[in-house]
Amino acid sequence: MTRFTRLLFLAVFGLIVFTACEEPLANALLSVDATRCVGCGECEDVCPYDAIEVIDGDAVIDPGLCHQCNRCVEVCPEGAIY
Amino acid sequence: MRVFMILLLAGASAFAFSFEGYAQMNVVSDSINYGEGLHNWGQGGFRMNGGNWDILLNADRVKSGEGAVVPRFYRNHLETHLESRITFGGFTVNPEVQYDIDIDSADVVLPLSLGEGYRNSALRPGLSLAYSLPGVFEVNGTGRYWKKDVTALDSDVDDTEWTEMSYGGDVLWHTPIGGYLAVGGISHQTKLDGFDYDRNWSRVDFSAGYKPVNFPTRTFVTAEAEYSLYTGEDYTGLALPNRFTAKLRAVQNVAGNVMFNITFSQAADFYEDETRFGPFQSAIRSQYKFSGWGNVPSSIMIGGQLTESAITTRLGELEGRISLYSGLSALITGKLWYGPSSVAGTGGYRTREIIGGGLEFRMNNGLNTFVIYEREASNLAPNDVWGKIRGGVGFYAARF
Repeated sequence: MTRFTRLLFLAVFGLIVFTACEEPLANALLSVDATRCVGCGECEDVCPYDAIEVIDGDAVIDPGLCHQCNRCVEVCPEGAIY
Repeated sequence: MRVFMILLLAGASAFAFSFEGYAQMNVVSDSINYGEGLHNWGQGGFRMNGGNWDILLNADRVKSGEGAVVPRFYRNHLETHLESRITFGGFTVNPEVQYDIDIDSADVVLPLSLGEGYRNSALRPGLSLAYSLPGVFEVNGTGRYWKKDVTALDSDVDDTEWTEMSYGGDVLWHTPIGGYLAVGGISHQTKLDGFDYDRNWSRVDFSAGYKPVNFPTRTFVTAEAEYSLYTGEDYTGLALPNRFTAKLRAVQNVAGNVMFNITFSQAADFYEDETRFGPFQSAIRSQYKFSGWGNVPSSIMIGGQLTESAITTRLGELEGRISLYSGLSALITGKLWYGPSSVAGTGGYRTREIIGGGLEFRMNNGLNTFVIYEREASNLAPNDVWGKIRGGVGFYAARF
């Protein structure tokens, strides 16, 4: 398979996924960028559901407890939660 | 006698260790309400290193007031974390325990709308085992247990014991062509005694990364893909979706002291009968390092980020430390932020504009002090502009 064929395959695959996807649900799981998180614990302090904890220096969100209230997103000084 | 001396020296060296201690105390206050806006925290601990073992102790005390206008949440707790690490050959054993005392904190909402409770304390022991063959493969396994002591606010409701258990592990193989393949998994259980609440979720991750080595000098590119297979439900009872995430990171060093860092990430969530976009992130950061006029390295960072998921955030930021004289540096900070708001009457979103400046002084003996004033504006009423002052003193003891 030539490099052009591989790129074409990737582009077509990406286009299919892109067109197949709908907008995220309101309760879609949040994501934590571990490269930006500094483990300050601000998110842990504001979570009313005890759903977030800093473990080994990174914020970890429990997907079963998180209510997507987005307070952690609001207070994160690094913009690491979205 | 000689044998005795050798044994004595060997024994002494086995117990020889280095010791590093640190302490930090910070205070924040703002002009909205000096009493309620006060936020202070202290942190202290030490690290003992004996060659193939480490002991770390960290205590973190937070006390913060709550405000009516900006989101400040009342907290008053002490968090203590004791961790040790023993290595032999390629093996690492890492037992740890964390104990939190909630002296007087905000209430915690119990799962499934079972009411609210007051968390008195939480104990979290854990154990990690790892084996690493550098540059070839790594194996990790971790188990943790949480025991949270919760008192129900409603006197008619029995108090509950909130327990959680989590265990998981992963295997990572560094491929000969410069990438990696990894398989990992985690299982998590949450139980609330007295409420008949017992829920599990688990996740299996398949991930791969590639870092091409034939790029021009000072260019580093990493591409990663991860597929997470979930079982379990979220708080609404909806099955957790499987998630595919693709990430691309590029770092370019220019002339050694200017660096550009670009990241791009897009996820897709696979529900039972539909596929939806997951979180998207695109960010750029550039950093310029220079020597300044004093002894402390200087740097200026300018960055921007856009994220889209169920919510949107936009961030523009500026951070700088400019060495002025000896250990004295000027601090500058600026931030433009748009994102979700928990403040009533803001329509779910608000903007923040922060600009500030201050001074930092680092002494050779490990003492470090700083004070910084920030002016913050937000589309809130009535306090749409306010001032905030942050200050702190820290001490980092030299090894002995």
